[in-house]
Amino acid sequence: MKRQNVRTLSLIICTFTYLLVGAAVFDALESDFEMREKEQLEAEEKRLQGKYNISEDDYRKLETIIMEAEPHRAGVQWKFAGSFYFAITVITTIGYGHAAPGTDAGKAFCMFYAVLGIPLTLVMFQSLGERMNTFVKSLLKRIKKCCGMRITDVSMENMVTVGFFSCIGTLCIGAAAFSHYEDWSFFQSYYYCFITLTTIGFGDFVALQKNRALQRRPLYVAFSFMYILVGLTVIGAFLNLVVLRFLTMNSEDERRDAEERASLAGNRNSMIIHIQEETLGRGGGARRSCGGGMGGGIGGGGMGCAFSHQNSFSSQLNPHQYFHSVSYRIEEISPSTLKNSFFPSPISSVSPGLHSFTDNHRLMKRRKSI
Amino acid sequence: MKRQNVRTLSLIICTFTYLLVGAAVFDALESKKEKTQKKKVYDRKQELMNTYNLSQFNFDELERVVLQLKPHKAGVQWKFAGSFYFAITVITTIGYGHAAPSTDGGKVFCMLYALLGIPLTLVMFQSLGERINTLVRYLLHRLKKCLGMRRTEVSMVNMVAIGFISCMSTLCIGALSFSFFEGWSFFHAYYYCFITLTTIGFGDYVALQKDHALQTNPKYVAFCFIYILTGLTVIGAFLNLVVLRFMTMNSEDEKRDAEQRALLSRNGQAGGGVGGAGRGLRNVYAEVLHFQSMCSCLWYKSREKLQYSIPMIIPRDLSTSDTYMEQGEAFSSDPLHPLHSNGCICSMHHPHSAISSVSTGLHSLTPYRLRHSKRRSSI
Repeated sequence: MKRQNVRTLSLIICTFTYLLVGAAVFDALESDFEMREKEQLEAEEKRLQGKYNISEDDYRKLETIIMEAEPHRAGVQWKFAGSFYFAITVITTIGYGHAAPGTDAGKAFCMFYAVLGIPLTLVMFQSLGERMNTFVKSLLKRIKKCCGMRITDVSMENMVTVGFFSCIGTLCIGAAAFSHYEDWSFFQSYYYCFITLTTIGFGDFVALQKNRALQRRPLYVAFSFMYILVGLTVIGAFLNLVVLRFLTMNSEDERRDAEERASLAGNRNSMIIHIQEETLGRGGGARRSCGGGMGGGIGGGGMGCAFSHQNSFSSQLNPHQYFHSVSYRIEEISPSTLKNSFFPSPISSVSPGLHSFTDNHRLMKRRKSI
Repeated sequence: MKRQNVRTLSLIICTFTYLLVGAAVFDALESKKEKTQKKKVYDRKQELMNTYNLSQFNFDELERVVLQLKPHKAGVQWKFAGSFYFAITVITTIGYGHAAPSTDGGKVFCMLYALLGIPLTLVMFQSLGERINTLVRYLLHRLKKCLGMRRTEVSMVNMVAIGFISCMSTLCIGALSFSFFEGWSFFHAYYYCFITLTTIGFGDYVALQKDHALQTNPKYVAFCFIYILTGLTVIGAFLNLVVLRFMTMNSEDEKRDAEQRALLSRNGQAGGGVGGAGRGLRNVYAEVLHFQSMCSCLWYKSREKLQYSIPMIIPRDLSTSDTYMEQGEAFSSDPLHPLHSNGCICSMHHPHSAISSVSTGLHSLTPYRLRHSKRRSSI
């Protein structure tokens, strides 16, 4: 089966298993507490009903009123500050729900607003995140130079470590700030920051809802907004570093497959054919001899040879092995070679972009599979 | 200023402006109703308090109990079905909040669960979305062939149109179902589906909360779960088609810059001397362009032979994605650049232009003009 299909199927199975496991664990953790709390609250309800002598009907009415009054408890939600807060929760997809449009016009506008705003925000955070990563990379390089280290290249591990620690740092700063301003425990604040910055946004804890903060404390309001946006940038930068490449994997595999097919079809007419026939009878050693012919007049023909030879084997090798053996070699590329040769386009497809080719042998391998 | 920095700054300014405009409009739409509703509720509350002679303190007590009982009234939230529902809202980042972990252990597990689950889900939806796009593209190509159309390639516009229509239909199907099962109006059910499938998840409307549906109506429960996951896949496929390329733009520009720098520095070493440097630079450019032209040449050749177009990622710009489909044919009939036997029109003497080599995939090729490694048109 094609690699992309295997990958996709495995991911689906993984996710379903993950959901089942999660459901089981949440059940185990929360069910008991829920039952107990429900009993307690219902008892309390009965008691209060009796204490104040409220009839059943009236109690229903009271319930309804209290539910309706709930969003108003936290203050005015739709003046400019509150609306800005709401707009943030929409386009970042956090969506607390502490305030939700009551009018139908508000709902309709909310939908249109989200349709444009969410992609804009996604692209913005990824863009800014990538800039941050580049900046951090250059800083780290400078530091390594200053510290007099021998290897000044910044590895992926370095970047991931720095990214991870910035995320934790951001969460802790937020936790400290909100636990102070909102009077939550540190753990609750941390939980709030985490749920917010992963854009889950349950709404069980929401900032700016106490003491009419939206109206009365503009500095705290500004801080909250900045924190949410900056925090999302930091998380976005980390995602850009770690996760984004996986999102494009299938597409790139697909592109490379298509280009291989194209090259196969395209090599029909060239002189490469006779080389192809020669190598059919031989084993893997033929590949090396083809590669050796690079520097001379065959030039790109040799390159195409290496490629098509492997293609001709595709029916004999099983796909997995075939993929493994296809590693595009660009050896000894010199200007003269360039001018006279045909390069199969897969060079650009293996990984996005031109790879700096030097006079030394450079092995361009396919990205390792996941 | 570097292109990536300009792009990033513009995006930031755009987003802030968008927020400000949105805030103003929401203010205008909702403020009045909020005020009147608040007053109404307050009046009714006062009325009830007077009827039962409740002090504010008493009322607060009642209020607390009622609000805390709210999730319980909607049904058992943490048995397996409810937990599964909750797990879905966590890893898809919908996060209604209709049920949220009360215990500290639940909160901790929730955070760890999200840490692993969210990237897994993101990758899964994009992966599946890409597969769906490929399948749709293939089907459309076959359809075009069957209908006997002359050009059987599937353009980006085709794909975007189909993607958009599938999104709308998914929302409408959901709206119909939920308006029936939950007793909401069609508009409210549509709003619910939209808010859910964009993973905003306010929680003002939540399915499976009426009549203890989680416990008593397993078929409806299954439908809800499948709807949410399928709907997210459809949206994910559309995002994969339209938005994903923009998220990788900066990285690719950065990579291309780095390679050009490497090329330049390499040639700088080889050329030697100040006088040679200028020439060396031009040589480098010529080489790069030539190399690019070779790639594009072969690319073009291969395109003609291709059964159906290369899937997604980064056409040069969406507006030209249709036009270069035709350029392939236009080339072959051009007298100035006769075809070689293998169909390639590359000329050794005129360096063709303009393939930003880095952006993998489809490039629009414009001959007769020398463009120095023109970057992807900016957004």
